[in-house]
Amino acid sequence: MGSDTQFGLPSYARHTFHTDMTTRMTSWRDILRFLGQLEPTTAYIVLPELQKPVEINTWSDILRISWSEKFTTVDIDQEDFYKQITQYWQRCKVLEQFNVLTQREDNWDGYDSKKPTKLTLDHAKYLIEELFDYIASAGHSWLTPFISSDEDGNVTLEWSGEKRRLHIQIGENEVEYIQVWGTNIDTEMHVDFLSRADYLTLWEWLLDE
Amino acid sequence: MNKNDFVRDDEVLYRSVRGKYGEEYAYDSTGQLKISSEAFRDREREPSVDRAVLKEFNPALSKRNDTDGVVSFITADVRAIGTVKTKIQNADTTVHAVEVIYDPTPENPAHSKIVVIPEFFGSKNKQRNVFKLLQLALAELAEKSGWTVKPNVQ
Repeated sequence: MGSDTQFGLPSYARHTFHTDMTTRMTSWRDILRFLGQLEPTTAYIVLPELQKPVEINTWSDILRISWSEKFTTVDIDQEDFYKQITQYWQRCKVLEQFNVLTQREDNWDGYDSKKPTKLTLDHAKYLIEELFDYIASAGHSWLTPFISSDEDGNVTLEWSGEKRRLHIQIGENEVEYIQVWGTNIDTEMHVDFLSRADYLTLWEWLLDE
Repeated sequence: MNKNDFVRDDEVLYRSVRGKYGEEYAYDSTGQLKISSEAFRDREREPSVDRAVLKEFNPALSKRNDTDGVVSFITADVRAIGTVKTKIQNADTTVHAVEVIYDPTPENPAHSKIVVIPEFFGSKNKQRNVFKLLQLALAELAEKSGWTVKPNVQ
């Protein structure tokens, strides 16, 4: 995530942000944080050109506002803003998916599967965030993965692309990946241990780039 | 062995998939169904399926919960996931490394299971992960054929 400066508005526009919460919003980061809450309440932005409050309840509201003709006069780099807001939203979504795993108990699925240990969860969270940062930093688009845990309590990440599938399983001490490009176990799948050097290579393989 | 105990190659198999959107299935931006390999999780590493012929070809009867969806497989496709050939007494014999075995229970006379025979797979990695590979292959097959019964959205 970038610094506040990346989300900052021109100084003349900052004082026009209002909300029905007691906290004043002075930057885009405040708004993003606000919208990232599990149960956001309504917020309002007052834009100089509109001279009236614009209601914000959802991500699409803020995206719509950011794309509006009037908003462009506030001199926001819309491409960068869209990129940042998308990455922020994707990160929130991934962490939200991940948090489901922390609630699991043994036999959570009725198939007698083990819950992930705290060590596995910590390891997985670190890896997921690192992977996300590598992909975002390289300018690649992020795809929403399936995030779950297997019968032994390993955390699993899985992306199913158009023609290819990438599966990562994270245990307490080791991480393995499986590339899949067909249904034949012997000839259309590859298994190996995962290292940082593999992150971008595997992602580009998944996206067929 | 009764001839009905053998699951024929042309038989249809049903598998219940948990109706939890985003956990075991999802749709991509084009509306294409995506199924996670975790939909075929099994503590015994032998995913359960039902023989359609013994479910009166009614896939809804294979749901574990009302909200679940159902996917179908052709038995031959499942066996082809890891088929290898061995030569026995001057004759070529096909041995299935992935097999579908009829395993009826009092509660479910159609119950069968998909099993793998790890020793057929060469590398250590593949042997250790052979069940995970099976799950991934089943997910690929399920995605290709799509829902037989759609889950009730949760």
